[in-house]
Amino acid sequence: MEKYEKLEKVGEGTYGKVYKAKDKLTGQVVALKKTRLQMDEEGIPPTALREVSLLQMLSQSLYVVRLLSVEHVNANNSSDESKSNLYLVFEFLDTDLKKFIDSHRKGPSPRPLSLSLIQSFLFQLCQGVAHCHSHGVLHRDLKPQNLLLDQEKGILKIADLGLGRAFTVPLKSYTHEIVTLWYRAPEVLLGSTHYSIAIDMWSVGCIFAEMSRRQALFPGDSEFQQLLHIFRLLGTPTEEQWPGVTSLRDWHVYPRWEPHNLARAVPSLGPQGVDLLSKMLKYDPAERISAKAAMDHPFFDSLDKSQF
Amino acid sequence: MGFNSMQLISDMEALSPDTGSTELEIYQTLGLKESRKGVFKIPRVLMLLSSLLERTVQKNEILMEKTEIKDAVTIFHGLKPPPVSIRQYVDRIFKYSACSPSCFVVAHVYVDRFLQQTDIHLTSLNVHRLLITSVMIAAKFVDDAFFNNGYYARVGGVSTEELNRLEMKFLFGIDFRLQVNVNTFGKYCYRLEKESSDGLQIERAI
Repeated sequence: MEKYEKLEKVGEGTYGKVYKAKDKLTGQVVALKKTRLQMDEEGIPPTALREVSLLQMLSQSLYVVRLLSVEHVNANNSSDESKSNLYLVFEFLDTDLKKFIDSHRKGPSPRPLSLSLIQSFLFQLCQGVAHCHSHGVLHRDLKPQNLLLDQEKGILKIADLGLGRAFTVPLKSYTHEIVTLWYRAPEVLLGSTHYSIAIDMWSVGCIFAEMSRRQALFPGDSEFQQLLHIFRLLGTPTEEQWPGVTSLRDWHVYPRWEPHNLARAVPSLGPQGVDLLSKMLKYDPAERISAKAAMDHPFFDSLDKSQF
Repeated sequence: MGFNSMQLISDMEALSPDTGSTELEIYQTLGLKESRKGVFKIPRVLMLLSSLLERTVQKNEILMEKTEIKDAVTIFHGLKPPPVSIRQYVDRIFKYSACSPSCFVVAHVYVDRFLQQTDIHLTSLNVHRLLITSVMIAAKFVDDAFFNNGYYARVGGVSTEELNRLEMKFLFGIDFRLQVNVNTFGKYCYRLEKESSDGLQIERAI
């Protein structure tokens, strides 16, 4: 790791510290994600194993963060193999969508995100998600913190694939302890263990709304509260709307809320934006719009797509 | 099969236009879609995989003896073949690891990738270590619930330190290429299914 000069610690990832660093030879600024390998009972942490293999495959897309290399080094140059580190070397991006939205809500000059910026970020997000899905990968943890931004160029990139997984092979079942609560799809909250790409699109919808509102759409603090937040805005789901919902494992009898007008939750989006959002927040996963189809939605008609 | 798993399958099909109902049939016959609830049954895929690997090992060893080619010795090579047959070893891993049966197909893909990358041959000296390492990695990559390396080490009869080293070597050996797409997965399933006719013919000839 002598190749790099550590500049500062910029955060804690899912499984270790993240540093901003500079390649001494080329001057390229990179992000170093350090994973301490205790070489104990766990071996290589599964999150690191998934992140490396998935990013290696997905990194050709401009809208997925680029993994530059993976290096395995013994700690403190010792030959003791039981103490070593795995470094993931990423391109460095200066901020993420959460910090970006926060800076527009508070701070010296609070102001809404312009519609053209929301269009651009959402389009890039859909492109990145479509890329993951076409390679048989569910991200499963899409949220503003995991979307990195190059502010100067106005580019958005998907990061943190530690919870990602392949959906190309038949499997026993899926865990439902995924996705930060606020962005978690209702089928997952209701205990479905065979979910698919629609769960990522629900998260995309929540992020879309959050860019317009500058605050989370469904800020629940428990699984139950999370469902109530959703039901209060979109109405309690019915069998007609979502066949099979009442037989999901964690379905209970809930108060019957009527759906509210979605436009009132996201007034700045306009009718096309509200229409696209409503398609991303469809209750029935089979009806929820795909990332690829979303890119053709009229909401993006006024966006110059040739730049992407 | 519930409503949601049907949806998952339709998504898998959407991913690859060639994937049709025959693919799903083969998943059934190989026992890839069986749940562990109820009667414990060893999926057919294990028997076929063991048979395929056993024949490959035999073929390679005869070939290497004839040509007097010697493989490079790696950390996957033991000094002598372990006393357990491939079949017994595979069954043991399945019995104790509780991984999805698909992990064995995925592990098979990984072993092939590793052999291609490193230019070694599958022999009775390395097949066991390659198996325990690749099945463990497959479970860590595709399953959401899996046992840790320490547990796999006890199942596989190696020390945890050794298995950790094997894991690292294996992952860098295949360049962390762990994703297996629908087409590759299907191809390996067909190869295993074919083994049920080829392997049996050999047994009859003997």
